[in-house]
Amino acid sequence: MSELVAQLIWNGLVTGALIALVALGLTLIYGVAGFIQFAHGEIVALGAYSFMVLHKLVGWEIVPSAIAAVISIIFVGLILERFFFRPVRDEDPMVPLVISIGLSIGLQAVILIFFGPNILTISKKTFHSLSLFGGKILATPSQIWAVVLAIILMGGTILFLHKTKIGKALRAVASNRDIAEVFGIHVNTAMRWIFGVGAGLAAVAGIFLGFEQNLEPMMGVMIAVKAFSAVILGAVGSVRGAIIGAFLIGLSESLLVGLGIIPSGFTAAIPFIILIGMLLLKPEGLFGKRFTALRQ
Amino acid sequence: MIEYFFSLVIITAIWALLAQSYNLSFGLTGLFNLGHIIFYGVGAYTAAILNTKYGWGFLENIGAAALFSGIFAAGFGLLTLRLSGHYLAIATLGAAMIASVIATNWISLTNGPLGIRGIDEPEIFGITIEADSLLFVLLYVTVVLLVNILLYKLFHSPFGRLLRAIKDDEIAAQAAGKNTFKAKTWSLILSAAFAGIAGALYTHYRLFLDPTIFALPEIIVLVLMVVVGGRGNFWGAILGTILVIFIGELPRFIGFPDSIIGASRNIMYAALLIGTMFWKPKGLFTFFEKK
Amino acid sequence: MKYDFLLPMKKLFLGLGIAFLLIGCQQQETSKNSSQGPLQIGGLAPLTGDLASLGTQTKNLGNLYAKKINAEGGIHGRNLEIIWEDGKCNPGDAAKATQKLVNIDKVSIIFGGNCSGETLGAAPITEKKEVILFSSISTSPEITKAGDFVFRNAPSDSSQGKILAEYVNENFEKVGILTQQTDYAVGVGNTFKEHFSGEFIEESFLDNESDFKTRITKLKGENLDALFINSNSPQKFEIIVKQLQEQNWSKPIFLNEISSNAESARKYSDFLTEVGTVGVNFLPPKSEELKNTLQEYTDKFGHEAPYESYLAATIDGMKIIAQVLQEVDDPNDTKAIRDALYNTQNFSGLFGTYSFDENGDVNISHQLLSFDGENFIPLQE
Repeated sequence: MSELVAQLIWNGLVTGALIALVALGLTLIYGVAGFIQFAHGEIVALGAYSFMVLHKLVGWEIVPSAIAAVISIIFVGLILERFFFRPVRDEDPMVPLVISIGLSIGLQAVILIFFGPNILTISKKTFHSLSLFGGKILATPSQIWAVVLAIILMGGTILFLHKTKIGKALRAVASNRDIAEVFGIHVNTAMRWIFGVGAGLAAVAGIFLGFEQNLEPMMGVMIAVKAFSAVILGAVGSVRGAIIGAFLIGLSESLLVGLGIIPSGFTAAIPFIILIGMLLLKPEGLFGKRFTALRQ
Repeated sequence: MIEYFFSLVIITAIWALLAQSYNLSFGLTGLFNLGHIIFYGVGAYTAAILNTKYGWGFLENIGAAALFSGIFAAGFGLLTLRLSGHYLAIATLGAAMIASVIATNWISLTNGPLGIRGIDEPEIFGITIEADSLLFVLLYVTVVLLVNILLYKLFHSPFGRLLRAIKDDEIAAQAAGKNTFKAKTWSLILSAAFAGIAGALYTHYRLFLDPTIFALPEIIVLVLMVVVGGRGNFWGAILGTILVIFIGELPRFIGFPDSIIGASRNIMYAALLIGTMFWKPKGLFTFFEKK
Repeated sequence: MKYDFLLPMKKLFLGLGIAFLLIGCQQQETSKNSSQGPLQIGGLAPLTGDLASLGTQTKNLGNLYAKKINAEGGIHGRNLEIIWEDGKCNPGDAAKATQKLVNIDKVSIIFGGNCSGETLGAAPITEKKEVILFSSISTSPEITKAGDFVFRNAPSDSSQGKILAEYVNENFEKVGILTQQTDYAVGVGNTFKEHFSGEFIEESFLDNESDFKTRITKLKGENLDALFINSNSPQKFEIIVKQLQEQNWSKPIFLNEISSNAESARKYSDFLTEVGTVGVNFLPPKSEELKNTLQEYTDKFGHEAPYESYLAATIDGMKIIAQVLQEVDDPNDTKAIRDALYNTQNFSGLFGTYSFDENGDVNISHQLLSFDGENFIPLQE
């Protein structure tokens, strides 16, 4: 029994870590730009596909391909910001949100045209699981890296926001765009940073997701939808809230289904059952007032 | 050939009603509810179940679907309407996901992924009306027109103006002594009832129903129709519906290879959506209004 | 309230209406299926989505066979042409595509669908217009009762679920089932459970899920004797096997027909042979003709045909259609075609000799297969 629970907790941590990387970018974009980026899941998919191209088709080693993939996706993020979101920045927040819905279906179609509908594997090699904690837990190398790297990146993002000049500027823009402008913080710079960082984090999540479940054009949809609820669960714009929300979703999905509390056919509904339940109790999100890193 | 044209008219009519009902809550009242498809699905399942299990006919089913979707929306509204903006959007998107999961798993009620078959064609005064016949088109267009006239009156009634005021500035409406929560709930209930009618129409046309009716692409198409035409504008939703269905049928005729028909349709939808937002963020209808 | 803005709107609606009509008329001119020109039939298969590989194979084979017939002089001296439409493996899209084939292209025969959902979505429309719907691949038991004009030369899933259950009854007591929630997989699962006498634990998942770790962990904790992977496509089967391997799954695995796909299984061949894998399919007997057809496919399209049994069934299906069209005097007389199909007895094809019964079904059945690391071969007890 304890082995079952340990393995379920590990599964939940892996899922939670991937959701957290996606949710982190979403909450940053929401905090600074003021809307939910619906095409974030497609950025996750693009990250996985560009890694696959470099690693499997071109034949680079894992680490250089991953770095190159993340850098190229950061550029994708910058391009989206420059050409799709900057021109409508002063419109009603509904406008960029609707544009991001358009980008989401458009990017999926582009992936479909380039790579076809079939499910592709991310690597030619197969990886075997390692036993951790005296055989209680089975984990693949990519899962271990996913959890470790996610924790480093989450800590890094929080430090970046609080300790660096740019991070403080971002928080200033998040709390009041006009005042920030008065103090010489350029909104364009802030937006570039936020979309670049968000896309980079999503690309990392995409690569690990590709190792977990192979590649398909719609692969980003489910994780993005889970990340949306993580972001709302932790109060939109809050960095720590989104991270905690993500792990809460990952762990509860794993434990509720794994221990037979909820039938497995309902798995896809669990993040939203938690979300709606929580919103009824605390409409501002779990950490509504206390925990906001971006919005003070 | 003419039957194909008829089938497009019928589909356009059903979607025009659905889009218009969404326009009432999302466009006019400003409730960013991404779960509107639930009410359409609830209406469709109500009609399918009443027809196959209890033998109810077309007209009774339309009434039952409207009633049931409306009651369902009352509960839904009590749960979600305290939320606003993005909270409401994500919570309702999640509700649509939950609805799809329930429809898939509640086998005894919905027959799950196997779907409900053997639904009857509409029968009025003892005459069975065959799909894609002229009579069928007339019946559906009449129903949709009647409901749309009702909606037009609603849009331009004092209640409609109150809803518009809530969208523009809810606090000001409250300050003017209006119970905005009650108004929003009623807007959602009415909008859901009309969506339920659209669902019943769909059921009696397709004669087959499965849980894919709640799928994400359907939600996006619905948002597309209302946003492209013009949120909160009565004619905008109709314009949006016609445009979206027209564009959706185009790739079939242009002669794209099959492998990219679906993808090319989505790229056109994306271009339409993004282009509208850049060019006329209030919807393409404003193009005509300025004259 | 200003109403003058309505004027341009009217023009726009009128314009769109005319555009719709124009498209339609143009289409009508090019596709009159009368007695001159090529003889057109419809084709319905999943050309996009998870099962696009199957639909593409069907399309390639259909076109290849039509070309062959045309080289031999065609049917009544006319070239055979297939108009393909995408059924997307679901009833709704199949219904839309069928409406187009029946109403615009005016075909008298539709060859398809492939997924059972497609065939069941198309059947009400073809039945009403008295158009022949001929599937070589759909196996849902419901198709037996789908209508008088519906035919297939593939076995029903009731044989698939039964044969698997009988095998499992003999060998295992407690099994796990992983079912994808689609009409096909749920249908197979239901017939399996009907005939299975032991204890089972079923986990199900939606189409858009790809994370099975938790379900696998749960099943591992149940002390099962074997696992039934009941997915709706070889692609989902691959993801499940990948995650089973990562969790050191060690119990035998058995598969439904669509998952018993050698190309997918080869990617995990070490793992699948180690735990022992049993599949089920309606395999054609080895023959020279089959070998040649497979070779021809590889030469022509640059890759192996992914589904061997469906390949044989598709070829047989095309042959039957061509034979029947030759037999009748008027290829638009669907009632004559229907009667000719019912009268087709002891047809000799890649599957040996078979005949249609009064439901439009044939006497082919499923057989158990084992995976030897390279291919699925008939199981030796």
